Parts: sequence; C-alpha cells; structure tokens
Amino acid sequence: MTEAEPDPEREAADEAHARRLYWRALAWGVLTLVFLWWFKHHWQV
Amino acid sequence: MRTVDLLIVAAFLVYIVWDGVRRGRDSKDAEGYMLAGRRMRWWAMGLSVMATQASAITLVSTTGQGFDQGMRFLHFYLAIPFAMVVLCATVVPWFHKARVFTAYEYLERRFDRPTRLLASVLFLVSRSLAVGTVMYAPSIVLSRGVGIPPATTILVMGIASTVYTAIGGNTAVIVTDAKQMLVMMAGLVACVVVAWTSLPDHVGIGGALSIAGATNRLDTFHWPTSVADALSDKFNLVSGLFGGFVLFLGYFGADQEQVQRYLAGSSVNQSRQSLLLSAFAKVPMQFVILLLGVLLYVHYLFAPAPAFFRAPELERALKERPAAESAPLRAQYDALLERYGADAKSRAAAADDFLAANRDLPGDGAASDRDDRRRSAAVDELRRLDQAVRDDRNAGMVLLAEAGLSKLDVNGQPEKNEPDYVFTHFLVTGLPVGIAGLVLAAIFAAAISSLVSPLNSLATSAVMDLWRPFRGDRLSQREIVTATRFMTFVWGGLATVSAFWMGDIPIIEMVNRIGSFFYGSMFGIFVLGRIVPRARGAVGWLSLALGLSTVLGVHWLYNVTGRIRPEAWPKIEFLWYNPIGFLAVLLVGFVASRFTARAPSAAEGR
Repeated sequence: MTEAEPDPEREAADEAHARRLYWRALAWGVLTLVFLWWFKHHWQV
Repeated sequence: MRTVDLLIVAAFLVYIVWDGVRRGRDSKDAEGYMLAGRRMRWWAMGLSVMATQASAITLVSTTGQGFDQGMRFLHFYLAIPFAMVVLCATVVPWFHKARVFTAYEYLERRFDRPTRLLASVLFLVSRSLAVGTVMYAPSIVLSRGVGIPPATTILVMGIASTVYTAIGGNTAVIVTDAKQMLVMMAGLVACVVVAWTSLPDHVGIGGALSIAGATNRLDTFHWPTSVADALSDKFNLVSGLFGGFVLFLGYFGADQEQVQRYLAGSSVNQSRQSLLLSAFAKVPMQFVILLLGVLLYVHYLFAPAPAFFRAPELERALKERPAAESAPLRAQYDALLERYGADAKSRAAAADDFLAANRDLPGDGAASDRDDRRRSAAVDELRRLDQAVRDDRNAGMVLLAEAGLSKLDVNGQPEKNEPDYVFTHFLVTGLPVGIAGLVLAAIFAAAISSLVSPLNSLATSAVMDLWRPFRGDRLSQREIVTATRFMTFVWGGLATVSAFWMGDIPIIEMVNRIGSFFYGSMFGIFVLGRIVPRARGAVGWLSLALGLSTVLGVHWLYNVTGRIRPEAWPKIEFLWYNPIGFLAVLLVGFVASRFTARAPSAAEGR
C-alpha cells in the first residue's frame, strides 16, 4: 500500500500527545456520565 | 417575522455565500479543491464536523423533544467521546498515512475495486436520500411555524449551498461551517438566556428544574430494567453506549460526509483533535438544546400558550373557510380551548403548590410524614394535569387532521411532530427583535452546514470512486476539479428537486434511521481489513454485502414481520442494527478468509 514517508521521531511525539488527549477524552466521557447521574437524581421526585 | 429579523437573516445568507465563494475558488488541483490542500487546523475542521452533524432539525426537533418528552434523547450521544477516541487511534492515522481522498479509496487498496465501488455506492445512495430531507424538513417547520413559504426556504438553502460549495470546494465548506457553528451556538445561548430570564420570579431555575424533575423530564441516566428493555426501549444507557458507539464509529469513521472534513488536516494530530472537539463538546451542546426544551416547557406552563402549537394553522383554515362549512370544527375547537384553558390554569396552580410544598420541606432531611404526603399529593396532581394538557394537545392535532392539515395513523393517532413547533412559536412570540433574527439565522446555518458537507462529499465520491478509477492517469487535475464542481451542481439540483416532491411520506422516518442500516457494516469492513490479514480481494465486498443483508434480514424478519421473533420477545430498536451489522461483517469476513489464498507475507505488506 502506498503511504507517506514515515518520520519516526515526529510520529512518536504525535502519538504521545494523542495518547494524552485520549485519556482526557475518556475521562471527560466518564465524568459526563457521572454528572448526568447526579443531575437526574438531584432533581428526581 | 419582523423586518429587522428578516434583514439579519438575509445579511447572514449573503455573507455566507460570499465567504464561501471567495474561499478555494482558485483551487487548481484535486487536493486543493477536495481536501483544502491538507492545510486545515483542528478547530476549523472540528467545528465543521459538529456543524455537519447538527442540522436544523437537531435544533428545532430536539428542543421539542425536551419540551414534550424530556432529556432521554441525550442517551443517543453518550458514546461519542469513546467512539472518537477509537477513531483517532484507528481510521484517522490509516487514512492520513494512505493519503486517500475518500474513505472508500482505502478499501480498494486493502481489498479490491468492487469493495470500493460497493461501499461508495452505499454511501451515495444513503446520503442522497438523506440530503433532500435536510432541506425539506426545516422548510415545513419554518413554513408552518414562522410563515416563510417552503419553496422560498428550499430554494434559498439549495441555491446558496450548491453555489458556494461548487465554487469553493472543501475549503469553503469547512470555513463556512465553522462560522455557522458559532452562529448556531450564539443562537442557542441567546434562546437559553431569554427562556431562563423569562421564568417567573417565584420559580427561578431551581424551581424550573424541580418541576421538570417532577414531570419526569430529567431522565438523563436511564439504566434499563431488563434485557428486553435495553433492546426495545429507544433511549437508554445500554443502547446508547453500545449501539450508539458502533453507530458513531460508522458515521464519523466511514461516512465520507464526515471523513472528508478531517482528511483536510495539516497533520494527523490536527485531524485527531478535530474529532476530539466533538468528544468534548457534542454532549454538552445536546444537553443545552434539550435543557432549552425543558425550560420552554416550564415557561409555557406559566405563560400564555396555544392549546397546541400548530393551532395557528387551524385558526387560519377556520378563518379562510366559509362559516357554514367550518362551523362543526369551530365548535369542537372552541370546546377544546375552553377545556385547555381550565386545564392549563389548574396545572399552573398545581405547579405553584408543588413549589410551595418543596420549599416548605426542611432542608435537613427531617421531613415529617405530613410534609412528604403534601409533596407527594402535589406531584401527583401536577402529573395528572400535565397529562390532561398533553391530551388537549393531542385532541388539537386530531382536529388539525379533520381539517385536512395533518394525518392520522392507522390507529387514529395524530402525527407526532407537534412539539417541533414549540421552538418556532417561541422564536416568533418570545424572542426580542434582533435575537429572533439571530436564532432564525442559526436555523438556516444549521440547515446549510448540514447540506454543504454531503454535497461536497457526494460529488467527490462520485468522481474519485466511480469515475476516476476507470479513467486512470488520463485525467488532468483541472479535469477532476471541473468534474467535481459539475457533480456538485448535479447533486445540489437533485437534492433541491427531491425536497420539493418529498411531502409527508413515510420516507422521512425511514431516511432518519437509514444510517443504522449501513454504519455498522461500513465500519466493520475497515476493521476487518486491519485485524484479519487473510481477508483480501472479494472477501471485502462479500463481507460488506452479507453484513448489510444480515441487518436487512433482521429488520424484515425479526422486527417488521416477526417471522423469526419468538413469542413475547420485544422488537429491537434501530440503534442495535449497528453492532449487528458490524459483527456480521467481521464474522463473514473471518470465515470467508479461511477459504481464500494464503495470507500475505510481511514483504507484501497489507
């Protein structure tokens, strides 16, 4: 398969940065669920 | 609508078309025209991705959902952060490294040309069916709710979108989408502020949310009670986090409408970050839209509201018809108004009683039995009267059907689109001058931004997937760009024409769910390509075709006809079609690959 020329150093830095963002996004997803649980139960009658 | 508001909308439309036309018109090659020269920054692509998904119906209908049913619809979006992370780790780097123009081009390199053609045709068919709805649906709502003729809305949206997309290409699409997303957010915030500040002083935001909670409108975290509930209930945590997860993998990972936005990234991380913007912002945005609907519910609980939100159409019809002809309907309508007036007044009083009972509860939790009983009684009364008002709205829709302005289903039940008109009613009667213009501009922004992306992608896929592979290197870059511009006009014209003849036919309901027939299978074929090295050549299109057939089979034999549905088993909701299609593709691909030639060697690569 034709692919762009790899640049190992830059790719490693990109991947490390991306992984940090992934963890933040996953944490945000979980926090959202927690917030929605709290929101419902706080106002539920 | 006031003249100032219409002028604001007109100015917005003129600006957007001018801005779109001046961007990218000098693109001389395919990469410049279709992929914005691969120069785009994450925030522009990210806003474009969000704007592409958020149509006018998102803004209008979702608010109506919040008003009528509450916030359960939010479950549909909960899987987005998780799906985006998976996509950023998989398809984004795959596509970026492969330097493809379309998602389906990747499939040809991995499997064969028939697989690419099949996937591309599926995209073209499904997206072209949907794009007419993107224009038709808001035109009807704006016509009935705001008074703008549907032909005007359709032509304005169709011509504006087609012209600047054809001339400006993907650069125009992304840049204008980003600006339109900001207009949408501004309009949404303005609506929320006005709705919030218009709540009666004795209610406030706390009281409003209490009332909403008491009437079951704040169910933002619904855990299903059983497996049957998880499968058959429309919006719950399980269907959202599993079914929705695969749906969004397919929509953002295999639908060219979205893929072409982030293929324009200047680096793989710029593309990743564009998707991660949705991971962070999409659910909060939908939360705010649904919350707006809830605030409007409380607002109209205390403020004057029509008996049902399509009442103006009935009143217009009663005025226009001869008195003798409309007398029976008029009598029924007058009776409804009297009944609704009493119910609405009682409901407002019940809401006040509930708030008072709530307020009088000791804050330390040491409520007496008497306090609890008082509050309980207040809640029951509020719910009873809320149902009475809902019944009045239903009765109004039945009268609308009797006037020939709406339809009843086979069970004699009216159309369920009445809540769509809450937002337009608020727009026309509740927003100050200027703000109403901004919000109307936001509706057009939502519609246009959801049109230009599919138009651009339909044209790109038609040229790059169906035409160019057969012309090979005989095509110059200029010819490719010219052909894509031409195809944009073709698709734009077809979409505009289809919006005119669409009518209130059931195709609208089908089109809205059509994604779930395709997305699971489409994403499955990309995953198959990565995890099963032996799956090559014909295994690609075979797996995709059989995966899709499995979904269609389940839909027809299990849900529609019930031929393979055991007694007492529930129907399954459409979100579950996504994982079914995904797993079917993987299973067929894995099995079929056992019968193909030897696995490729490392030297051959994939």
